[in-house]
Amino acid sequence: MRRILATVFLVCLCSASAYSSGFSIYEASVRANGMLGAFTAYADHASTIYYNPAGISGLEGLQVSGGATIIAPRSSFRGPFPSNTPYPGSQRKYEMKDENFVVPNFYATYQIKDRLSAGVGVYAPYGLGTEWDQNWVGRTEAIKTSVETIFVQPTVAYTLPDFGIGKVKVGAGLMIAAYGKVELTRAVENFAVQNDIFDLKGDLEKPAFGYNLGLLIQPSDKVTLGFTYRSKVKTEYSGDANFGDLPSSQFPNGVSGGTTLELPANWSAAINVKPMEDLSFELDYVWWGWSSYDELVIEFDQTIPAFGSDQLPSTRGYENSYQLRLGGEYKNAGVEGLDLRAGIAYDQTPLPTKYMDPTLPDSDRWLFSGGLSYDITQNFSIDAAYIFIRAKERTNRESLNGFHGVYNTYANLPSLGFTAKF
Amino acid sequence: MKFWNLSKKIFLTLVVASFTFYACKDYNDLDLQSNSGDADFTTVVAIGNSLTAGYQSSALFASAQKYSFPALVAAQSEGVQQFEQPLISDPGIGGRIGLDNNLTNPSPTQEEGSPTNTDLDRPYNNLGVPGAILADFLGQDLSASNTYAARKQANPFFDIVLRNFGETQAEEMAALNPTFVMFWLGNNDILGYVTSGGTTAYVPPANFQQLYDASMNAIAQTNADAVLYNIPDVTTIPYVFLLRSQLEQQGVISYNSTTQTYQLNTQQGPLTIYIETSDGTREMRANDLLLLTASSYFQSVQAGETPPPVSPNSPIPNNLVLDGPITSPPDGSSEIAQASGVVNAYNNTIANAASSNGWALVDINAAFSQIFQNFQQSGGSEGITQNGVTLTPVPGSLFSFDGIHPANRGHGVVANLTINAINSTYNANLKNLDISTIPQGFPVNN
Repeated sequence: MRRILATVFLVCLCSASAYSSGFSIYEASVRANGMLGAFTAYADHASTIYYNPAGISGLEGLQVSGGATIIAPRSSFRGPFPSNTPYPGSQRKYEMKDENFVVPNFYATYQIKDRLSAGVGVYAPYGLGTEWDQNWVGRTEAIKTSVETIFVQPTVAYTLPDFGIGKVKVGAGLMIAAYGKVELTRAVENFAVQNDIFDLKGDLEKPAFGYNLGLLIQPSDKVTLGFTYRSKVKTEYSGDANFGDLPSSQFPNGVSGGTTLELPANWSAAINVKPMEDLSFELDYVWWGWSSYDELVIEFDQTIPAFGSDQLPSTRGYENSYQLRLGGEYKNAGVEGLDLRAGIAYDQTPLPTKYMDPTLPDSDRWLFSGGLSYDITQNFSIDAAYIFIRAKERTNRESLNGFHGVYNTYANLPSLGFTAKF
Repeated sequence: MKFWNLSKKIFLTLVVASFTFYACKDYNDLDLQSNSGDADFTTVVAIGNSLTAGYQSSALFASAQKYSFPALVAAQSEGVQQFEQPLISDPGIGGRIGLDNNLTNPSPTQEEGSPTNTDLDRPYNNLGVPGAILADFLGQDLSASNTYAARKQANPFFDIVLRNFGETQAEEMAALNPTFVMFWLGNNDILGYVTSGGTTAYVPPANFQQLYDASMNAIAQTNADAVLYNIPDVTTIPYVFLLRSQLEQQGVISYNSTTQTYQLNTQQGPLTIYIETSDGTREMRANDLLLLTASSYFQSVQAGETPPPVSPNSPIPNNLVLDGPITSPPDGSSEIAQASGVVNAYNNTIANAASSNGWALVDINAAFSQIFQNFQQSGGSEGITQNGVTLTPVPGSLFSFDGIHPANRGHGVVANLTINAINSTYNANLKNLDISTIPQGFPVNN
């Protein structure tokens, strides 16, 4: 089993990309994708390890689920509009390079005792991948930006003894950032050289830790309330900084560099109602503490004369944000064993216009989803989902870097997975 | 069976839906904020020579072309949809003068780049041809031996810039149906005389006026608006004024106020320097300038390879000296006096053309003279200060390493002068550039 898992993850360890607000990825389960992540109070699936750790208490026997989401974002930039900072080039449309990312997920839960369950999850909650042409008009702002993370999360949950307010479950998980990678690439035009591209590739230095806590309350058979808190996780990356052909007296060779990304804390509060057998609806409010991402500092192991410092800070200026996620599920939809899901969500960007740049042209977005599961056997189901994301066209005439223009983004996210019970 | 039918339906719905979403590239028209006032910047064409092309440090290369002043100005108008240039990959064509990794020792590279923006199936918007003279704009012959065809044949930049979309800059300009033209020609009509130390003829001002008026007619026929640029005083470019003061600072030469001559500091003590002029050999006086090309001559003298210019038999060759007036008042016969008389006459022609057509005029001559004056009066520390950046008129600051062509930030200064002229003539509201945000972009050959 371990070998299979290792193989699956080596295959899936491609890039991940941000396509919810900031660079979080809420698409941690194919079933949840079908309901657009309105899953905090749903709990009836192994992937609740991510969405609400309390939910694994009560899942019978050994349950395993795995899958992958393909994220296919497409962005364009039109401009640049005039500003006091020159970005000479034709005002026209520039397409971000087409990239498709595979984001894996895997969960296993085991019922140790009636009330006590344990589990482990593997998922990629943060990621980002944008790449523009090396010679595009915004090359000094961004060429390639990529962040990848894989979390492993051992989890326990317990159903409390009845004390009169319905069934109450609590759970907790240890979020371990086990794998991570960052890459930043952009042009430095201080000197005219053939290769004027600065590139930093960093790997996660050591595992980083955080935790999540979950609470589920079922005051009645028809209503479940869910609450999940995920702590921030401070991840540190280091690797090689490369300055191309830039003059070595200003940009030394053989420099190591790194950066720290504080992955933000977030919580969600949800209500799940079952108006009738086989039909449920859920509404989740998810809060993101993105204000922790106010600055990105690249640190070098020596002074870079051109920067006059061993640090290269840039203000990110993110603000806290929220998402509203509404999902529905219709079980045994006309056919025994066929479950249909749909969802809609609104995702507020944490990125103020003045800090916008092409590393991540984030914007408020609407998400739409559909999904289904089919029980091939009583113990084995196939899960599929499709999410479409439309980010609002965002016109920027106030960015502090002077790189003004219009960004458009949409994304398609098909996903496929399985759920097995033993 | 029922399941398969249903799932087929669902699958098809998803496929159709995803295609619908995929096709949903509903780009809105851009809500452009016109800031060009009475001028129309829909199609901007720049006509000129190496200055317009963005030639720097003896070469035409992409990372400098990107910051050419026409490209900078065009980018400040929201109406400009396309401003295409004949980009040449670094290190460009011409033998780029670059620094080494320690940012010292500027020297030319043997490497060459090649044109990159060659798929464009129309003329470029920047039609600046390095080396072009005014007569090249309409393709006119200056004499039986100095024909347009011969000049075009001898200068590879004509083919690189014009390709096959027209025989001349004027034809390609007309083919683009320009709405706005930037026109800066005439520098080379006098610069050849200056950089050859007065050994190559300049275009006589009367000819210049004819050529210029004909050129203005060609622009007027397109109904475009325009901005014209005049010609800087030749003594304000480092190629002409810099070497003498550098040699003085290095102690190679010094001025003797008693004899009122320049002297070479030798092991035998200071000895009067002789220069060759078109009126014969004489002592080097206070108004005589040494061209940048004379620096290798002085290196050779110091290495003992060339006899020192301390005797009338071994003067500094005429082509390395721009001799100045020696009579008081000046009689106008010196090379510097002739050159500045020619430039003034050219500039009168240009100013008249601008006012009679109602076009904007960028007084480069006044601006560069002021910068030079600030530089001289401050002992070399001042020049022009914008956005907290002080640029002095020397290579590696306002100018690139060839001492003739502006560097990136120098182009920024020219762009801001252009923007000011356009704003005041056309009631426009183009934003000035923050010079400090323009990368210096000094070439490094490595």
